[in-house]
Amino acid sequence: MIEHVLPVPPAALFIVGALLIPLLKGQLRKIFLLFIPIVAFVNLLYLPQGTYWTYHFVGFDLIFGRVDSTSLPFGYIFVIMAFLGALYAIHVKESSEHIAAFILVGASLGAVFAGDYLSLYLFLAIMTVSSAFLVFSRRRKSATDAGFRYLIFHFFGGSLLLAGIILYYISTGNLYFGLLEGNELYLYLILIGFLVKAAVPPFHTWLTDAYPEGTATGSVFLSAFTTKTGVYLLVRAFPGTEILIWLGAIMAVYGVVYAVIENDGRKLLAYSIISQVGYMVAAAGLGTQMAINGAIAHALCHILYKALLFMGPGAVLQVTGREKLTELGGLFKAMPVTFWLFMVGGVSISGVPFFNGFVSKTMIIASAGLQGEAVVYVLLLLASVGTFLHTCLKLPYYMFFATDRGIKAEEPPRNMLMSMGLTAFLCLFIGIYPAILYNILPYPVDFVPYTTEKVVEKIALLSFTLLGFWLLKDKIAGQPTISLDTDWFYRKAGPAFMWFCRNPASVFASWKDLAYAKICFAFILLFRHNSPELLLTAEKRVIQSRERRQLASRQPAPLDSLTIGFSIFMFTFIVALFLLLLVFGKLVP
Amino acid sequence: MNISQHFPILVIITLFTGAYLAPLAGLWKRKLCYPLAVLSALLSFLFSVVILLSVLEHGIIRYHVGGWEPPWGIELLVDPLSAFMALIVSFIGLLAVVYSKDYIAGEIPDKKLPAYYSLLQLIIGGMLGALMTGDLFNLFVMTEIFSISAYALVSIAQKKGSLIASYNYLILASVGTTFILFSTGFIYMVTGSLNMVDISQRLSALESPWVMYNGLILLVIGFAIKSALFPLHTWLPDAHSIAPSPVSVLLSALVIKVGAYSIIRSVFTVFGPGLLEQSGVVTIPVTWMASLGILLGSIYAITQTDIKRMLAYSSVAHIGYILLGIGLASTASMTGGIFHILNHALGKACLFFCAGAVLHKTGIRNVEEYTGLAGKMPITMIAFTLAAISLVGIPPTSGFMSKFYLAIGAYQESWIFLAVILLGSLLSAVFYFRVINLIYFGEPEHKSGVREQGAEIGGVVHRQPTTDNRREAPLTMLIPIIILALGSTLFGILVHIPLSVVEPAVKLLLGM
Amino acid sequence: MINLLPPNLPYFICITLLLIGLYTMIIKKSLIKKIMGLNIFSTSVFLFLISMAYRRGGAPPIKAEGVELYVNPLPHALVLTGIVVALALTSFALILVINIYKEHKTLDSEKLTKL
Repeated sequence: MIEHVLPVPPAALFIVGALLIPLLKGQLRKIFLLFIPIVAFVNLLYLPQGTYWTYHFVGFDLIFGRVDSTSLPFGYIFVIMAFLGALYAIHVKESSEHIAAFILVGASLGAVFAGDYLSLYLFLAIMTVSSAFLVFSRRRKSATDAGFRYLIFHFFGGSLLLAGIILYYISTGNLYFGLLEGNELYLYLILIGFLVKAAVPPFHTWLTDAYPEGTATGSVFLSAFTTKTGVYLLVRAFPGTEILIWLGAIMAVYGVVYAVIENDGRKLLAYSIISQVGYMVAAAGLGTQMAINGAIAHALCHILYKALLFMGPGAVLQVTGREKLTELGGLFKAMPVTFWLFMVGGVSISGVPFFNGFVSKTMIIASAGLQGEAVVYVLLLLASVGTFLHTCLKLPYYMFFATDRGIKAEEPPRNMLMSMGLTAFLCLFIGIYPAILYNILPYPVDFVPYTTEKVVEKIALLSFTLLGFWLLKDKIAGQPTISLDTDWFYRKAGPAFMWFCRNPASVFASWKDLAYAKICFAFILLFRHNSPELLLTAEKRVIQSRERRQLASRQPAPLDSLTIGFSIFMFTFIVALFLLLLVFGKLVP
Repeated sequence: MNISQHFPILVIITLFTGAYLAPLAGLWKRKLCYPLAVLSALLSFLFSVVILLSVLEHGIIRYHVGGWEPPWGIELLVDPLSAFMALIVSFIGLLAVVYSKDYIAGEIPDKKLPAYYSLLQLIIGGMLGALMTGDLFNLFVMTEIFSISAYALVSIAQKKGSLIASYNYLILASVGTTFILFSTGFIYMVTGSLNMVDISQRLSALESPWVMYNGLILLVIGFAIKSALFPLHTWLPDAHSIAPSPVSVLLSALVIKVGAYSIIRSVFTVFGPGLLEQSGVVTIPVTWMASLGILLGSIYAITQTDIKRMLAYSSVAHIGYILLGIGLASTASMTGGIFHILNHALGKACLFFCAGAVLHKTGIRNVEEYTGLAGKMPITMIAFTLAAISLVGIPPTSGFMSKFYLAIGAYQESWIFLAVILLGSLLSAVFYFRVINLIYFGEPEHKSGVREQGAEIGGVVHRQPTTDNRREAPLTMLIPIIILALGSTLFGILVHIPLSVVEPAVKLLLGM
Repeated sequence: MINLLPPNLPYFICITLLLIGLYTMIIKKSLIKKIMGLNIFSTSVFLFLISMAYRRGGAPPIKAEGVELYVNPLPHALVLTGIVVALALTSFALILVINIYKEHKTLDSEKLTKL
């Protein structure tokens, strides 16, 4: 019986399920939210490997089901994550948030199983919109702005990807999404499109900008899907690309550095995502069988522990309404269970033996070592130390201990704890029985994580870090400021662009004044021409320019209400232009 | 003689007859005007469906009005393109007529109703006439017919500024139509014929195309003014935003498209792709103007606060896409451009209908005040979202597919055009998603908890909300909205349906 | 008399009128003068069409015995239609102007733009 019903496309299951959510109320909806991921998981188990669900779509071949050992692990973990996330968020009443989250899951699954660029682009676009909606759900000004920047950033990346796809289509005549090699322009465009998804610096700012602004429950979803889809795409299309190794290694360290100085708990975790994804990107760049295995394994483990880590501050936010580390502290007494569960995530991400981070991270570092990439090896080890420092020590210390600020708190709702518990269990389980993870990887694994050498090395490193932290813990306390990252540019660029759009005329006038004043000043300086009149004129111009700019920012002076006379002049001008082109151009035979 | 042979003329005649009957019926009973208008629009729609089917099956229809053979008589020339356009025009025209019933009651005085419905049928009939005619001078006459009805419809509500908008529109568009007449003179001078097919045959035999190019330039610029190609768009924002919403729909979704269609006709049918290849005199500047229009139209739209004005500027950008596709004149770009005519018509009509429904129910025009409308008018707002997403060009909506084709065609010419198309989509995402965000998540911060209290933004206290939360527009307004929203989504998945018409049309135009 | 004039004189007159019309529409601020400009503009096009149809020595296009050369009748038909259209436009524009004046008490286009 069940073989006749299943399998259905996993993406369709979630997207159709998402559309049904608003129809259901109360208890029924809660059951439904958990039911869909379970069905999807069973469905995945029945999903045979191969390429199917192909459709001919006006001359293009769409492949919705390319199920192989690369895409299937991502499918499993996405569905598991959907279940955990849904459980964590089940108390949320807003259906819009559930819908956005489920569509995000569905689109991610669709992207992972897509076998051609057109359907891939379709699902990536849906992912962008639904993630932005998850950020918007916070319903406050800063979240709206961040969501907006997220949207624009990803549309920008999507545009480059689309440009790449079109170039690819024109040069090859098909849209099959597979391994990309060579030195064509489309290759780079597609690569940048994927790098944006994977949040590789300098395209990473959307992540640290938007993820901390999501709702307590939404960020758990956000953290799991987008970057890992990016990693999947890189593994699929660009394994063994030299530049990715370096980008990944730099990314790993870069994320750690910013995470160490960050003050907002979830923003710290966002930087830590960048750092962790750096491992995967580097592994994709290494491109050996072991490295690819490592990238995928790390993506899977990362999804679990990072979700767990986001659940911790999420629970704190839910209970206390605070996010900044400088405003938190001393919560251990009120929330011990949350703390211990959070710590499981913390030690997992740090790669402590017997937790899942260890079994995947060592694989990547070892494959870097085997490749003889010494610098990369060291950088990755360094990042691993830093990760332990900020995620496992700094964050919990300032959130749960440090100064007791007398915050009233209690344990979060039961479903949140259950979800955290389940995730923590999975982290531990995979850490202890890595075989279950290794079995679903694309290539056979002959890597043994638990050798004495590796365990000792790791423990030694971590112990030294612990010691260091204890000695220096006041030095790295988060400052209540925003650390300057590259996102400053577009944060400022947005309003500046709007201002410029509103009134180009005033802007140009103001520039003109300023330029005139500059020339006057230059004249005075160059020729020692101490004319008071000139000075006065220049100063007047400066003031005028400033006034104009203020005027411009305040009231939108409509440029568009042109007089009829001017319009007709324009018409005549255009006709004259065409005629001139006709006369002078090479157009006359 | 079989009646089915007369369908081309029936499409037009039905509406013109309706236009004459409406004032007469109005003398007797004003209520009769509406059903009359709906009936004639419906009939015309059905006829155009039949015509489209028969064109696809049997090829081009050439109908001689009154039995006069061309070049003496007027010939109606229905090829896949004009049948496709006629279907769009009559369908959206029908929806606009249906929509008018409840909307227009609050906008214009009762005694003007017959005139309104008469003009409405006249404008649709004029457009259909312009689409189907095979005669250059008749094209001019039909253009004037729908233009004059458009001027009148813009000012019919007598709102503040509508008279000036109408006047501006009149003067500027009349300059355009005079250009068209001028060029008709040129072409007649060279070829001695007014029939399009006849002209194109005679032109290809000519040696020196100097005068002919003059004619072509004037013709294209005349129609470019009609279709609001940047920078000839200056009349558009006022006229489109001030007109009553059903009229805005007709103007923004259809009238400018008919201008674009006329450009296609004059460039490809009258002059033919063969003559243009050695010249490029028109197509190259048109593509650059269109590219500028895509970017600047979107940028202007970003800065607008009035929703209808924003939509109007977005139309400037979208007519840019259409004319860019046409100007590039490759198979893919033409397919994209013509397909985009359909998508923009569906999407923009839906958006203007939604804006009209909001205006009708709440009186809100300002984008900033759209906060939280999703709770009050959920269906309208979902439709708005779908249509906006289609116009931004996000898959799986139909807008994506046309932009995809356009982008392929654009890159074959130059990467600059590809960049323009993608950047234009990005910019349009900015202003559409701003509205969508406000609709669903827009809540002023200090309003926390109490969602239905009167909001205060920028020091202006807005209307107090009424007790009932859900206040959808009446059914006559809602049904067109739903149909259009579904259309702009479904045609993204069922692309083969519109493409089955567009592809033969493009092949015919490019002479393949 | 008419034979003394250069044959392309009508075209020059037509272009002059065209430019006068455009100039009026561009420069004059009064809405009524703009309409006049539009009329001059369209008249120049009518003149163009008529002069195009003219054949030296041609008779009016009414069939008569013994006449071989007629002027081309079709442009006349076009011009007639054109005049009708222009008339409709002008009358509608004037109605608009009357109403604009009633509403705003001015016909200065620059003042009206600022509203």
